[in-house]
Amino acid sequence: MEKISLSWHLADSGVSILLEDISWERIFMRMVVRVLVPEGGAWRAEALDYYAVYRSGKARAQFAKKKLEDDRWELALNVSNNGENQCVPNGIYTIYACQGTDVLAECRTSVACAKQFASWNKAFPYMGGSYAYTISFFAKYDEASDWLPFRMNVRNLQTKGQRFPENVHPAVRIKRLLVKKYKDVGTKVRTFYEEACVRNAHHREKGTILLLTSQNDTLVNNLAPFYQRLLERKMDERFPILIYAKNTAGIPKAKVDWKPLAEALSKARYVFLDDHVPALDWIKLHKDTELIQLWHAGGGFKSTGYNRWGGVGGPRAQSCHRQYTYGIVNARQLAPIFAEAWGIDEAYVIPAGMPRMDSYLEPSYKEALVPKLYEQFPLCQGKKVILFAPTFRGTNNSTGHYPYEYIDLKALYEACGDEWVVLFKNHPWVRNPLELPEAYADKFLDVQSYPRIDDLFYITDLMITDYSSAIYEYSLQEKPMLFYAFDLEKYSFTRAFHRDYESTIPGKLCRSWEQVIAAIQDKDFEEEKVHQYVKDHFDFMDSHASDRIIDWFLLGELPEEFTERIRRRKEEMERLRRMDFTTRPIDK
Amino acid sequence: MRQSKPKHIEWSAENAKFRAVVCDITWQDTIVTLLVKLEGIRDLPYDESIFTYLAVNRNGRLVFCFDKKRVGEHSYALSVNVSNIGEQQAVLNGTYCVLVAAGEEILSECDMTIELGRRLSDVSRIFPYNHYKNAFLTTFQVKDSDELIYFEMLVRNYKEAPLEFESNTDWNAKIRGVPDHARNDLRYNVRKDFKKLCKKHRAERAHTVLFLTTRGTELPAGLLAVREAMRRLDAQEHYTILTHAKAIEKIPNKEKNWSEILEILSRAGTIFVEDVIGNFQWLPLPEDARLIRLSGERFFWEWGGYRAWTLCGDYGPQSALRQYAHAITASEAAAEIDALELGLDAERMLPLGRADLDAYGQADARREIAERARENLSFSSEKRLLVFAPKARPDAFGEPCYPFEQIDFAALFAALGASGAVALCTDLPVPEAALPERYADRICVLPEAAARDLLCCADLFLTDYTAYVDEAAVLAVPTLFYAYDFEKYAVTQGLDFSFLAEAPGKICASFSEVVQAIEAGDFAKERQEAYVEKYLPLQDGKVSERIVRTVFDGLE
Repeated sequence: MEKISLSWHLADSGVSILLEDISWERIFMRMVVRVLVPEGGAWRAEALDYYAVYRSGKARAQFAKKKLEDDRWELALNVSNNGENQCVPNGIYTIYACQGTDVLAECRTSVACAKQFASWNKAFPYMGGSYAYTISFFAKYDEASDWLPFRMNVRNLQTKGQRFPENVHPAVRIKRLLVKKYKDVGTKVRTFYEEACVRNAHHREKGTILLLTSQNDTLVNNLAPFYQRLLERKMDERFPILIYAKNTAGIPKAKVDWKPLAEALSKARYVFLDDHVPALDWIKLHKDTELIQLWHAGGGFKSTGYNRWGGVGGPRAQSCHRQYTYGIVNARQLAPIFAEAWGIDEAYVIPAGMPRMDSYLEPSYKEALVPKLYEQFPLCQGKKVILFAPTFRGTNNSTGHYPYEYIDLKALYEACGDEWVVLFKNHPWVRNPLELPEAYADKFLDVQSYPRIDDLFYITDLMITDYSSAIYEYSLQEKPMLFYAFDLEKYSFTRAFHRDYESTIPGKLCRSWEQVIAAIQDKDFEEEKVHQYVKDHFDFMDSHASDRIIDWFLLGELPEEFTERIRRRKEEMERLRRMDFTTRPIDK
Repeated sequence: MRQSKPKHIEWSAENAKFRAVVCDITWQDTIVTLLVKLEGIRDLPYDESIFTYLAVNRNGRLVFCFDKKRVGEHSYALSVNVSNIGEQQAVLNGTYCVLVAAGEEILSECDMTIELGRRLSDVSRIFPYNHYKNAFLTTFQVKDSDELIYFEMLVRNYKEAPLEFESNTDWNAKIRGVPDHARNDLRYNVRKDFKKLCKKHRAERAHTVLFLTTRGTELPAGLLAVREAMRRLDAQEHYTILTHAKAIEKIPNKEKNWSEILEILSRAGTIFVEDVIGNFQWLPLPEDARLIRLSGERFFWEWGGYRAWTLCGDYGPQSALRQYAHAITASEAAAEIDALELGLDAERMLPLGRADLDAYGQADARREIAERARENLSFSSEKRLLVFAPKARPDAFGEPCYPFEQIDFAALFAALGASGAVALCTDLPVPEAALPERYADRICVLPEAAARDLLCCADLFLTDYTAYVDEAAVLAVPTLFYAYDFEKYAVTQGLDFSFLAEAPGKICASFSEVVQAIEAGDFAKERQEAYVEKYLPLQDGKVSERIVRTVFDGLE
């Protein structure tokens, strides 16, 4: 790789980059710097690029820049992804400002800022705190200036004991390591997978497709309609199709037989999944294999993946998400959100639509279904229907529940009058069923056993929810919503949101049950927000998402808009890798 | 604090008698303070003064108790030094909730305000050490629960970890790496040999004392003074006194002659040291040996030991410092700071004074030192002597430097008057251009260490952050601090800002202020007196004897 040689002008450029503030927004570090450039010279503040450079002289990340007021600029860095689908690597970094190949200044800071470093430092604990990815800052002394050279220390860390070292014979240490190695499930599975990859190279050459889920025993969500469409288009005649659907959630790693999965993965040229597959956190896929994520959730608020990093349930530094060749979303506007969540570059997040919307948006499907729904739920005939569909509380499938003490069924019943009836549909992970009093049976109905919530949207006139991503599909009906977020702060601390909840929800926010009742009575739903939400969140409102995915990713017809974006991004990263900062004159 | 047989106590958040709300979190060095308000307790029949605040890990085990201080009605400041919760142990790795207890009854679990919940990241702390490769982390988080925003404290000691995907290559590298390591695993063999020797010399240890330094071939002043005191007190009748002084710190471990030092160490039951012995980081001493650290030269405000964690420390949660059975400190006030710095419990601190300053408290010894020091001066001893000992700063390469060319020596000599002379004590090369030729007969450049003895005959001391401030204070030599870069130096090199309030002399931000102070004779002597009273009140020339009597109880 040919290096790009740089010209150094630190002493004579007259350019100063002075750090004033650092703040954090999830995984984004935002630095406010004053950029002082001599007037009338060759250097321009607008033309400056900012790089985080290792001590060894390698640039490992480029900051995104945004002009604020006067001579202030904001430099932003996603520390969980430096553009190479990995965190900014361990090391101590200097931040240089360059115009083209001219290095003009290093970022410096003041004593006042240095005093605040302790609170600006950031730790992202993960895997229950066994690991942490940390970013800390320090200043170096400089006799010649009151502005001190600024340094950023980045470390991925793992737990270390606190005792004095026990005196273990080296042979015993080797034995312990060997025992650990041969007991380690990951090692065994990886060994099997690596051998299978050699054995099954011909399957990959044939373009074998693997549809993979570790959250269910059958294909559901996006994979089921996608599979159906593959068959309809006779793709199975061209590409052998494998299916691996096994719910391994909550089962200890050692108790799962991973060989069938490893075997299937080794054969696959294309792997499609629609959720997190924990095994791919520790099995690195063969370079021939393309991993395409058809994420199951549209565009809710809940943080996921790296946009909840450092919180409970956040991912590892390297995870399944990092391996995506492409991630599929519904709209361009969602690409930055999902790129952040998956820790991959935005160029690889492609708005192609969700296969499960294909049938949902198919008029014939709706036409056939609605009469059946009224037949199944006669209570709804001739009435306006409220669908009460909140998300779960708790952390997972086994602890999921809903705190019913926060809803007043009597008040809701009274508010219904003759106009409304209510269907109650909990998140599938809610383990404590709602017990509806018999007295309310004429207006209330528990529809928990109905499998597809999307179907219920056809007959719903008002949805009451909280943080559920079900709003995504529902919004396409362009009907009103109420957001009953009685525990907004607590929920935001424990689950976190990837964007501001209050300003993004496509409906009225109710902080108390009284406000919900009042909104129903006053018909105050702030419905206008729904239209804007739909506009922002859907590039396609058709039934062809599966077709696009087949055409773009299997048949190689990805539109030029995206291929060009990917090409540009690859070039940028290539340039970053080639920049050679080792020639800094004062470096020893 | 950990109990070997813990008592089982039932507790459920549903049984809380009142709310205990953490409203704020603050840090002072490695001490974290939680401001807790008790809500809904007004009408309950509890005596708040007996409440204890327990840090309980997720296994349900009590790991430490917070120190509490009442700060208002139903409000308490709960603090803990995360680098030492007692028994020379940092807070153990774990995730802790904070319970309020009265005796064995648990009354509440701390939750937090929404406002605090929003800025938990700001009040969390990363304490890097070992050149930023390791870190001790204290973060705060919200416990997942339906009810309140319960408070949790996550504490972990960490080492660097790879960022790459987990792979089989890692394992193979680990295993392949060990045989190489095994061949060179000197520490294993040293520890093994040491254990054998310790067993062999067990009987000797009860009456063998070792004075140990690994920095040079001469014992530092404090160790010498204590050794002499032992001899004066005829301690050799009861104890074998050994001395080991060799500059081995910079010799690679494998090239050291281990057999000699291990033999001596294994025989010693009491070991006096003045500086940190690096090998004690990984070589635990036998349980019946006492390692006693004397207080030596230091710049009081410089962050060392565990206080340096706030910048980047040298020591992990277990270190050579934790092996001190006792640390002799200059005073009660210094003991508090030293305990924080050394990560030791207060009971291990012995405020007995600085033995190395004993000679300064004795007129004859002082005169002798002064006469010896004057021999190094190139000018007449009748001159008014200013000792100028500035601290080196790192330059752009990280190498030590000092801006001598910016010192206005002409103005300095003018202020000192015709009889004034300057001893510039520095190990740095002084550019010729910085020293005016016409004062050549009134200035001499000496090694930095010479400043210590020269203070015995000095009329004035000009410094910034050197270690001889205590000497000057004991000798009542007027001191000026030319701290033109104090803040910059403090935030990059690690100095406590209390220097500004407590430095024993006048602080000058510019050299013209230094000159003016000399001209006006304004040396802020009252600050020096206050400093001596607070931090050096025991320097009566008998510190070493006091140490011997205290350490070897009953020895006369």
